[in-house]
Amino acid sequence: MWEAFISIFINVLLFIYQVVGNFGVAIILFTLLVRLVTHPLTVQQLKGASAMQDLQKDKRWIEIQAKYKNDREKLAQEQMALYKELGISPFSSCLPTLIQFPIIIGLYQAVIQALAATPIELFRLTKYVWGDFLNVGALIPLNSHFLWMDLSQPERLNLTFLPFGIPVLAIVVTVTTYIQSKMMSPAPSSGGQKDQAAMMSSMMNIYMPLLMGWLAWSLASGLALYFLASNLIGILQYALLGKLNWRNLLPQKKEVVAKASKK
Amino acid sequence: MKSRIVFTLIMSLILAALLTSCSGSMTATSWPGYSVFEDKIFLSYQTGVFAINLNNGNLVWQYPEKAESRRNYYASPQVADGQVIVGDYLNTLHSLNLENGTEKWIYDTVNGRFISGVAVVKDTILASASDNYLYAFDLSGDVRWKFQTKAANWAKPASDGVAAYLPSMDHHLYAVDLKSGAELWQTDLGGAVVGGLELNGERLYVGTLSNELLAVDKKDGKVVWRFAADGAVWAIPILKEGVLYFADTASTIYALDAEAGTVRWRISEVGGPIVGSAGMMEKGLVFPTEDGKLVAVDFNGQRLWEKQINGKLYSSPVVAEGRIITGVNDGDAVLKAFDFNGSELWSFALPK
Repeated sequence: MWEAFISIFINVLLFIYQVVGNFGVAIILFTLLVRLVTHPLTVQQLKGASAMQDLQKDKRWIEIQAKYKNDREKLAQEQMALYKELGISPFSSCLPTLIQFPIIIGLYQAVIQALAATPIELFRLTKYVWGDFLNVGALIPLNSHFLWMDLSQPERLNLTFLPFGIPVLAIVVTVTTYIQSKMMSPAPSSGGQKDQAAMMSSMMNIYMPLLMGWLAWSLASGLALYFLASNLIGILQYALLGKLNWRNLLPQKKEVVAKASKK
Repeated sequence: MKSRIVFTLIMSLILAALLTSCSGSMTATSWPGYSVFEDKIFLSYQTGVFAINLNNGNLVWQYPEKAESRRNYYASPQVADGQVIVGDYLNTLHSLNLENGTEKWIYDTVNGRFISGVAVVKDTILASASDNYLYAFDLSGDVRWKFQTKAANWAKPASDGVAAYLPSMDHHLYAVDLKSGAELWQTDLGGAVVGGLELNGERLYVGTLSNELLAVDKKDGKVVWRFAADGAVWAIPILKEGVLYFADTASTIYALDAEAGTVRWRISEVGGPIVGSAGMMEKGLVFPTEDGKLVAVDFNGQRLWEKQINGKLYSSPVVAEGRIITGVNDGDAVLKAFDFNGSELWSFALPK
């Protein structure tokens, strides 16, 4: 099952490569394609998140939070009842994230398999390729070079006057992940529980970019290129849906948090 | 909101763990490379080079003393002038003392892996590298010349003492002057070459990933004939008394007339795909299949025996001193030795 899934990824990726003749461009186009295919899920995720935000402003929600603050079981029951009544699924915004996981892992494996750098890896790759769809003999060897990068290896930009390589892609991935997570975060608001959520959200805004940056630094640059393309396309996608919070990039948030902490 | 953030955080950590575990494949892997010299087998596998007694499979020495996890060896070691010469996957060519495995010299200013073993002609070491170059070294490890191709070189070069012949992943076969490194000719083969070529008299025989075996005139590089196989031809064909023996990934074994390129006989559906060359015994040939079978056939295409091994067989078997030595992937040993009836004599697993 998983092998068949990877096989689809590899063949689509190689087909794009066959058309454009550049593996870096093929990864970017493939990312765009994946984003287009998963666009309905993204819309669903946004709707779910938006409904959850609206719910937290709902009078009944606030009332039951206050009423059952010492009875967690009852609180959960009441919350579920309210979800049901308003037709909200608390997991509707998580499902698209879950679906993205096998896609990211599948893409990673497709990139690694396609950039076969040893005979046994190449042999495995040829077993994935659909012979009727792609001409393996003509495709191999794949050109794994894109700009200054070897996409099968972690990226470093080596400059003659520096004794070490600069991980440009890892830095750019970290920055774009930070920008993306800040711009996609909901606007901060006051309130006890929301302060906690805002704190966790701001922690996420720091940890996630660092995590993605570390992955981009340590894994094949083909995957880092996917992260970067995915971030940029994601920002564009949210912008087109009118869901970007440009204000989050400005240092207003500190004021709000500061005000909240005075209360 | 809080639960969603926690959920995303947990999932991100799982993703990180999964991707990091996937990155295990970033450590290069391949099949064992080995060759026989006198009473020893020299094996390259994972993080070391091993000298093994041919008679009993006992370890004689290993290199390096302290393994580096990033430095992997899969190219077949080659013995010449009292040295064991072997390239690694961290862009370094090593020369080791034949008797004890101590390092004699290294050459590490290459920008690519050494996938195949070197060829030694007189006092010249020919080493193909995946940085798109063929290197010629003297026996002290000094570069005499290097020759650039259009893509990585995985195949083992060959030489007749006048020219060096290199089939490349770039679909071309090159002839290079052995003394100067100047190009003599190049020919488009129509497909990438992984294994190498068979050199005999005026002909070069080479298989490609475009499912063909070609005969090329070594004077000018003209293709004399080409034969369409059922699958990709990864390994070097074996020539004996005017007949070429080889197999392909469609699991077909062929015997071709070397002069005309016509089929003498063929055996289909031998087992799994075959990427290794045949080992030549006294009365026949032995082929390795991916599904772990050693298949012995005589020179007329009649099956002699089959031996099922625990593991996958990609490496080409070597026949020496009445023994068939074969490398094994994903099995309980890295090397196994059999007699000509397929009975196991010994096996060698990496020391822990």
